[in-house]
Amino acid sequence: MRLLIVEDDAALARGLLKAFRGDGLAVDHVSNGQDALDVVKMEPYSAIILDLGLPDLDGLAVLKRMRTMQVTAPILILTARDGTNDRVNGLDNGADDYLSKPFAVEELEARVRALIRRGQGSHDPIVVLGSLRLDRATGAAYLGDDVLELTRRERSVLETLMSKVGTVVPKSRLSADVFDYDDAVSPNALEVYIGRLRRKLERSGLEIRTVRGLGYLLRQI
Amino acid sequence: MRADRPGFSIKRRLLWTLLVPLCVILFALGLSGAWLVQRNVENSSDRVLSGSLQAIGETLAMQEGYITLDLPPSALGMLENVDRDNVYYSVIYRGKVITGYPELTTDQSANSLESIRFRDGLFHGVPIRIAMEAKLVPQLDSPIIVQVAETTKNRRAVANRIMVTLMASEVFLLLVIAGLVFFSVDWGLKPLAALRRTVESRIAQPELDFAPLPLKDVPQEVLPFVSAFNTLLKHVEQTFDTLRRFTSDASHQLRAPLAVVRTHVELLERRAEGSPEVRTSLSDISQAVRALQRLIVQLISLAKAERPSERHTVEVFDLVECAAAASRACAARAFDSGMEISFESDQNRLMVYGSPILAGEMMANLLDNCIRYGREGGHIIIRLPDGLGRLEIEDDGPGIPPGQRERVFERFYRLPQNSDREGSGLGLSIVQALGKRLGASVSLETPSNGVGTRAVIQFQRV
Repeated sequence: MRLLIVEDDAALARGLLKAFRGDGLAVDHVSNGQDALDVVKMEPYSAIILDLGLPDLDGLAVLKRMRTMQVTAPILILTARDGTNDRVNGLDNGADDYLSKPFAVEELEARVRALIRRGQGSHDPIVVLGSLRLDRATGAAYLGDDVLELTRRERSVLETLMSKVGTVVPKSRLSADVFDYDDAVSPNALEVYIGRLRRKLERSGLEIRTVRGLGYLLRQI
Repeated sequence: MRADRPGFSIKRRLLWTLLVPLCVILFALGLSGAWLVQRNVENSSDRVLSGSLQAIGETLAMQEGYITLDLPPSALGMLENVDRDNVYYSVIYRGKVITGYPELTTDQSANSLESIRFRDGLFHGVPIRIAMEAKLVPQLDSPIIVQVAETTKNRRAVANRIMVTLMASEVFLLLVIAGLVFFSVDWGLKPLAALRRTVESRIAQPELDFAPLPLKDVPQEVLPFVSAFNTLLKHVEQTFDTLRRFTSDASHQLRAPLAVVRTHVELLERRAEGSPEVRTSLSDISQAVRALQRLIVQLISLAKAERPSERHTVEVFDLVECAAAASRACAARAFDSGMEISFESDQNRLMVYGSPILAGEMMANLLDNCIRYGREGGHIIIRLPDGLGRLEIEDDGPGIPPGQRERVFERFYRLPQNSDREGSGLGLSIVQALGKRLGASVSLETPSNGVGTRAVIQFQRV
């Protein structure tokens, strides 16, 4: 897997190279737009990190040119501006993700990993959160080395919550995932499943929190 | 701040410059008027008196050695008037009163023939006007002196009536002119009031408008002032533009090096090497870098909130959805800080005017304050209590003393109790600036149970 970093700030580029090479990726670095356009023609990258503030060409123009050159690699744009217009412009012009400076290295790594996965079209069926592992292909769930017994609906709720870790999932969304149109759902049916899941996740280091009026959130304690 | 004492009003200036000379003129007019009235009334009264005198004088004759006098009733009747003046007469021959009132003295000194003479006198202490004629009658060697007199009540009354009318007219004139000054000043300044309304409507606008004031309908006298003001507006706009570019550039310039520092510090921390002192230093640096980053981000959003560069046109949006999104976004952080968060809304939809992006930024700042300064284990409530476009964000933390509720909106002001916590002191300034742009008001109050802080944003309902 090969990553291209287009960044004119040498010091930042050095840091990023160190971080991604530490993650075991092959990383190329160019410091201006023209070099970036030249190099993407030769090498099939898995993902591209593109700084919008380049010395020679406008970052958005580089982005557009790459897309017209049929570069299909996912592109994450970095910018020192956080204006919503910039974000919208970037995404409109073919960027896949957006991060404004300064950022946490971990977050950049996580997003690049996600982009690479998406670019390869392969969804890793195993989702991991702390000691919890869920195999979406087989439906099996594990807490550490132990098998976690789940009913179909409990697994459904857990899978939805795990796909949105750290964010509040609205009740309506969970209900839609769990219940069919045919199910006669009582208002607190969902709470029943949440309650059961909570008991099963006791002492797992995970908890399902209620945000009254909004929904549920799965988090690591 | 106290306004400077304003100068004299234009009305006052005009009244002074107009009314003082006018009063002098009217006084002089009054004096000359009084003199003229006096003279005219005297003349016409004297003419009647002389008519009466001549009528008596005509009847004087010698008949068989006697002086005869036929006192025609019309002669004294013409002196009758509404004021019932007393009329006196006397006919004197050689210093001897032949008929009439002996008390009516004669003025012997001036005794010219065939000409009526008038003089003032007293009759029993009452002022009278006396007309006297010396008449020669055939067969008599010495002239007969005929005198007719009347008290002066009537002529005084006539003169007074005219004088009062004159005075009343003058006072009326003064009042009319004063009224005209007020009216015409108001009317003349009407275009200025229109200009004032234009300027005031701009102050009320959330976004500063530097377009020049319209010169149409501006009176010529005020034109130079308005033109100068427009030039000033242009200068301010240019300065504002420079500042705007500076903020944007500064944001870029500050963020780029900060990204370098942050990246390298995090990489160093990750390698888990070095002595405990090095690790403590790294952790301090990393914390400071994050604080610096937040400060810069907050400064930029404050600068952006206070300037209209990115034009968020006022649109209609769903406040319930916007508030729910803001609450969802901060829920994880609230839980990380050991707090509960709940969302209360009676409606599923509530359309208000504004911008969902800016409104979301306001809520994010308020929620951030709740998490930062709230009580550990505390409870944050986001509430849409009615259909009136009111949003409440409430915590049960230490609260803001009532005396500080104005000051916390000042930039960089932080409550003394929070000095040990991380924070920029800009959050509420941003909220207020954004509120101003959206036409939403922001206020702080104490929740009904007396604990914590409740921030209230009042949006404009559709």
